[in-house]
Amino acid sequence: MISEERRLYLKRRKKDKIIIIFLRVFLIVFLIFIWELLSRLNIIDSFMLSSPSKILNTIIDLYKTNNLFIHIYTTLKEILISFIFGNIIGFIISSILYLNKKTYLILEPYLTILNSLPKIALGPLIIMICGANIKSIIILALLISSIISILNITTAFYNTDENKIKVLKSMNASKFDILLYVVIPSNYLIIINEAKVNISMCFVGVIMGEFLVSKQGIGYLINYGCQIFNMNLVLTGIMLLIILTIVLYIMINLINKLIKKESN
Amino acid sequence: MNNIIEIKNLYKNYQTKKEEISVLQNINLKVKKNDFIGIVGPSGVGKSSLLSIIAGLEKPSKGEIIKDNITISYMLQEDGLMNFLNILDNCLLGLRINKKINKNSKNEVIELLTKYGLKDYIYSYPNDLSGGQRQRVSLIRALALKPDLILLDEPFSKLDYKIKNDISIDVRNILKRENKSLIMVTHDIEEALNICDKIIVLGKKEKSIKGIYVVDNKEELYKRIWSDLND
Repeated sequence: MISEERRLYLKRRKKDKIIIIFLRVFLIVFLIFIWELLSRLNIIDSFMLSSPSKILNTIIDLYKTNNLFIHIYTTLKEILISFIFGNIIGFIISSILYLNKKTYLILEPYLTILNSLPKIALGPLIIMICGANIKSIIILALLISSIISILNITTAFYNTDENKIKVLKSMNASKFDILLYVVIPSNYLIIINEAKVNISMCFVGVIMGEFLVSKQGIGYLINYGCQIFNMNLVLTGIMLLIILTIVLYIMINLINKLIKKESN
Repeated sequence: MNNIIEIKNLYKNYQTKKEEISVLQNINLKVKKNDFIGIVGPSGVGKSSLLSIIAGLEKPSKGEIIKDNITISYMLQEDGLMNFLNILDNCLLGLRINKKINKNSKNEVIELLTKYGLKDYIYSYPNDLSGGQRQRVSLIRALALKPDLILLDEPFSKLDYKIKNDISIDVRNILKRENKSLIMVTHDIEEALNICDKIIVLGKKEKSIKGIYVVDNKEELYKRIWSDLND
């Protein structure tokens, strides 16, 4: 049996939640409506800024010519490959740098500089070495995502509770045992969080790579649209990116919930 | 009786960028089987360093430490339990690392947990336990390796007064029953008197042993150690 006060509180909470969801949906519908209206009334230049109906038509055209899913699939595939490799590389290199402190001390300033460097500047160099293909896109995404994860995970590894490490040392544990039994499990949440951040980093890297070299993908669609001055295509590409971002955001949230459930 | 540990003319210095800091000078100590030794001294006197050297985690700057082929377990200020492992797995960690884990050793650890009132918590996680229970698990983890000598580094300093008193008596009883030797360091004279049979006072000025006392009249000894420490 719940008290009247609690019943009112729960009711108010539910009401607030419904209002927020409604306003969120309303805001986007309203903006789309205004955009369409301004475009039809020629208040804004529909050639430069397109309109929701034109974007919808472009999406339908892309679908009819069997191009829509090819572009989405290409971008998603590149994100997934760079995400998986980025995490594996980040984790393995961080572990090596933990096991060998001297190597870490030697490399740390270079990693920091490489991390601050705008990776897009390396794009032409990567294309020269790897060719104008998917490899260059993935390497660019890997550079963007893995260097920051290496730095963050290695720092977290070195900040592991000294007391726990001392306990293991007193049990004759090797450095590898310490890594395996204390350092990795203690930093499990940080590793997963880095993976979460990596999804967005890979997204940025892949789109940048597609701008530079690709013949397929959403980044290519935007770049191609710009080259032929088809702003409908450009804005369609941006809309598809927004939809993909929403999907990735939902995925990240699901992962977050799973982690919270796990750590409870 | 043979010594299980003999420390001869031991010195310990720490090197920093600015200077060399001397923490221990000319330490001589003999530990016999079943000894319960308490090393008492103010903070920064090098108590923990001495224990780390005995455990083999640090090297002395000068001097010799002779160990009679014994196994040593270390129990620290904080219990150091791994929150992501259940109580049984925490206790088995040392055995797992030393690749000594088998059905027998696992049963022995379960027996120890049962014997010391933790049967219902075998599959619980450290966060479900009270401070006193966690220290008991930490002790059983140390005992699981079947050590001849247990080293305690201010193991109860994070506990409140009442629990501290109970658990220190508890630890003494457990270690006596398991026929172990003990060296503990603490800045709490009363705690040392509760657990140990022999007290060694480390002086801050001398950076060395200032007095060795056998625990008999606790009240009298408390006063003597107190005056030693405040000299």
